[in-house]
Amino acid sequence: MNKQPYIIDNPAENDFRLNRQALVDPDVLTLEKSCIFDTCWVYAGHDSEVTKPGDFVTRTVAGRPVIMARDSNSEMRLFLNTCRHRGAKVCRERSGNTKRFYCFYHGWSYDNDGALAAVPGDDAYPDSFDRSELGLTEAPRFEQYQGFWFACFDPSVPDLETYLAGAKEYIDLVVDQSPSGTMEIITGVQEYDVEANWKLLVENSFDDYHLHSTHSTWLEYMKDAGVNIRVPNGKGLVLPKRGIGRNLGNGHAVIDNLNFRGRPVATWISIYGEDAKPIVESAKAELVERLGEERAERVANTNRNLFVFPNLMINDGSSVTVRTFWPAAADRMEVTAWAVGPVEESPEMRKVRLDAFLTFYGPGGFATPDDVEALMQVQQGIAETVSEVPWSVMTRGIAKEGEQLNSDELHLRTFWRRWNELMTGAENSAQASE
Amino acid sequence: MSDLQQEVTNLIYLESTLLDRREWDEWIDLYTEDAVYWVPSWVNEEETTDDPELQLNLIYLRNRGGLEDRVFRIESRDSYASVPLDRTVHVVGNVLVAGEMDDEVEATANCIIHTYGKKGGLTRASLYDFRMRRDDGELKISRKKITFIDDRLEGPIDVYHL
Ligand code: FES
Ligand SMILES: [Fe+2]
Repeated sequence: MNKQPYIIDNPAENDFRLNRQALVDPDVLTLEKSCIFDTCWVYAGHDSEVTKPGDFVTRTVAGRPVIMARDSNSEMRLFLNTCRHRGAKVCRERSGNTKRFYCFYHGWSYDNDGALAAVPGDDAYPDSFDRSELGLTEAPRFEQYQGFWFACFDPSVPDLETYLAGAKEYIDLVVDQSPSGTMEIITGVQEYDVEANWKLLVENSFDDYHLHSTHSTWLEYMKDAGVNIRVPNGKGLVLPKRGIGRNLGNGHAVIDNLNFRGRPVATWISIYGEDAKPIVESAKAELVERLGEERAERVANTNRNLFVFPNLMINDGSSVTVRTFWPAAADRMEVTAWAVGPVEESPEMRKVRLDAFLTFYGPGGFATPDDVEALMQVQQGIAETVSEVPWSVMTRGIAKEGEQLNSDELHLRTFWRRWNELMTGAENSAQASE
Repeated sequence: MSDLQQEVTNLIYLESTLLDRREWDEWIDLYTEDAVYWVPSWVNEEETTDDPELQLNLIYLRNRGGLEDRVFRIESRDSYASVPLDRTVHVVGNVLVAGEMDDEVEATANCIIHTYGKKGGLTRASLYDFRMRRDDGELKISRKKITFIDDRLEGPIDVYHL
């Protein structure tokens, strides 16, 4: 690491720069694991993934192998997937339903509440061997908001709702798409690796500045389908409709846009086909009836890319995707993305949602591959040039009074400021001033 | 080899050859107007998505128009994921006619796909499930399901990778 700070943050001088070492240096990644992923609330999964007692899924959360399970009382639990005997993973399937987690190495087994239930040949253990102390270890903190479950491996932190701060308002907007306020993960997952630092995907996931240059083929496709993609002159916009970037506290941020691209719930565009028009219109009518005209319009005709620090994106755009990512190395991340929809959604509407999803998002979509390519180009561009070119410039919008646009970089600076605070322990005075 | 087996095999070979040689328009011409093109995602170690309409796939195109959109994207040279285009070699084998129903033929095949591009060389594999139908006497693909055996993908995928 060069001796320079991670960021130079001086809004009074209209200066904000990022030290590219933060995207390159393996030592930074080591520090991120302890300073960020071990101290923050990290997204673990959704209510709908495990619904019945005994249901479980396994995955990696904050780098740890975990089992997210419904126990015998239907309570959600997050167990570390490691045997209390000598460490083997006790659950090897990605998902399923079970009464017992069985460690095949020596045969210890645990019930789905985590208690150690059976130990082969336990007469060889001394009297001090106490089964009741050898249940599966749980994440110290595991809490949910609107069905989205988060874990924290630091027991001392404030509760999840406090942590989420202004992000709650935007999660509510997503959940309001469901008449019962219940969203579900749609079966199927997209998992892909990207040869780039994970923080580049944080930036990219809510960076509207890149839309025209990176996604021109998608915009052309939309235009051919009759969507108006003309950008109005003279307002500093880069998209056809206005959108803003907002700091939501604790490092969370959002871009909050007037919709131009269609939304299954509930703004119809011609790509959906004539058949879908009445379905989308009736979803809108339901929103109006349930939420009133103003809120319905907010839900149906604005879209948002919500970043929950440190590694969750909820992109409520052409469709809703929940995306999380984990750094496998300083220059490589593992991305996992799900589609989310209202539980009561009709099959016809689900089709519209999934088509809209696949057109834009995902490793086989019309937009994500170009994003992935951009991030790889950044990583390749900076990796061996840090000594000569140490700084990235992130000052878009910094000189403005008041609202900043989705194509400005306030929301990126919000992320980096919080990241820097956690990495250095230094309070950031500029956080409040911009 | 029966005539049908020969005809089916030729069609599958031709498809992979046209992809590797980037003859996109000829490639699309192998598909019927209503052809479905489906790449499921893996839901666990054993199973992929099995309801393309209501589950999240990697790619699901309901008709040939969807393939045309893909080709538009590749040919535009404005999609940076496809510029420069990865070089690909598909090696197809194990072609079997699985059944004939009314006017449709079902066939399966395996494919090893070697790609070379910005990520260096990658060798991957797919299971193919075809349906084919006669269109003006000519056998065409009316449905192709591609089970890509990787669950975690190395980067993005497009029709030429699969
Ligand atoms: S490691 Fe699990 S039983 Fe020995
Ligand atoms: Fe993008």
